[in-house]
Amino acid sequence: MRDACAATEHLHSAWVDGELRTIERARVAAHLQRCARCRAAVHQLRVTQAMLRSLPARRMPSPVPAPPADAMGRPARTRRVLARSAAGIGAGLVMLMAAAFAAGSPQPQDRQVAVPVDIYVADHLVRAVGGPVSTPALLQARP
Amino acid sequence: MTLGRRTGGLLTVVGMIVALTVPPATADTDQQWRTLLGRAAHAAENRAYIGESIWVVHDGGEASVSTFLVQSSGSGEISVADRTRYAVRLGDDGSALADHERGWFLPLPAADLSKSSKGLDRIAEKYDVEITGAERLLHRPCTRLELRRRSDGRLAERLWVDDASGLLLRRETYAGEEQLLRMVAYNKLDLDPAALTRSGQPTRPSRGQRTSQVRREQAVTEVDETGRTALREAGWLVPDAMPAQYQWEGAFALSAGDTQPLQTVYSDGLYTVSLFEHHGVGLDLEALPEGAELSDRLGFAAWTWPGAVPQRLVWEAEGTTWSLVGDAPPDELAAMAAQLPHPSSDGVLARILRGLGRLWSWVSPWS
Repeated sequence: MRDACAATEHLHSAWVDGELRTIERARVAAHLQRCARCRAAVHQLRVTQAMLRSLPARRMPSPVPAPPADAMGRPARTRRVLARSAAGIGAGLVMLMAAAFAAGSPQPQDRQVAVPVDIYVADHLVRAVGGPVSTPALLQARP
Repeated sequence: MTLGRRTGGLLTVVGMIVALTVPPATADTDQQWRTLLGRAAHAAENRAYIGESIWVVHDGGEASVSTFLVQSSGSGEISVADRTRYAVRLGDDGSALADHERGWFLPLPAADLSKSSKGLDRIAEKYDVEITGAERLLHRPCTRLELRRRSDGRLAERLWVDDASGLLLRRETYAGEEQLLRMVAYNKLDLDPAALTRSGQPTRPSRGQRTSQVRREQAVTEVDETGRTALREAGWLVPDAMPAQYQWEGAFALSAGDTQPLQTVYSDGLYTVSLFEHHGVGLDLEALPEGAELSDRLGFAAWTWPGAVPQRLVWEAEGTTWSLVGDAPPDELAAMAAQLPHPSSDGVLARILRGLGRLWSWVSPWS
């Protein structure tokens, strides 16, 4: 089980944030069903995240006093307006990109496709070898 | 001029006589290996014997070993029973042994040659076959053959065929001189199984069943040329051939449980690969057999079963779940996977562009 834990541990944070791709999400879900230790770790992560969210927002420091008019002779107020506009546009773009990134996540799959790999192997061997193959797994895989 | 013509004519006649009386060594060798392989394939199913075979499968730094009790009635019925299964994990300080169960499916030595005996011409197209000498295995005289890929001279197989019975005693599969992929060999063989029966030994292993017996429980429809065209029009890929000279062997519409996959079989005469197209994605990972590992060695995410024989690869792309099952060398399987649809790299830019498209479709009154 330790190997399985190591293989999914680095995905816990993304799992909590809901950022995993379908295949990884399914992989972590399957592991969490089986592993109490990792379930506890994920729970702890959620608790920590909730605590961080509950902290009061930090206040911004006081603005630095505006310098006098610049070398081109523009008044400090005009410069402030320009800077604020640029910052606003920049922030808007960043938010748009962030929203697009979030919206662009791979579509979740509602349906679970059970691919009968064991039966495929048996089907393959019938065609490739003609038959003489036997293991208990094969017998269990068949209806 | 006349003398020249006469000399030329004489030389031609002598040349024709030599050609007719002394066949080229290559033609002779060609006939010999065809006879040996054909005989091996026939003997595997039509010769009565009881033996213990050992399988060694290498995958990276790990080797796994399995032993099987193999029993042939001589009339096409062959049973196989697991004796032991264990994996050898090679560490820095030597090797360590660990009990291991994986539920692999292991074909018999030479059993697949019984199929490839129909494709000896195809083997000759892709491989150079050479008889490399006489040896002794299990105190029995045998003949050793080597098969090399014509395209790059890479060693593919070493085979030892028993001179008396024609049985394949040992088979080593390589991906080049230095890389042994798997070895299967008899370490005990009795060609007079009746004597064993009389001595009270079991005639049939407790576990053993031909897949063909189980196979009949499924609905299987062979797809002909017309059906293949119809399937393509309906959105199935059904490639005509695969890279590395794997040619079409057949296609079968399967009904396995509540699934309806399409199996297409390809062979180069020596190895066989099946492609399973299964419409729908969203793999149920709980349903994958034991030992599955997510790997990106193909350049995209695919499920693999390291060390399993035959190898399997499963991945999702373009609304279909693709499975490749076969005993082809890893580089040839990878070439096949690369030719099939596979997930594109989902980079940040691609994701943002897809997201912008979705955002636009949500706010746009024209969407």
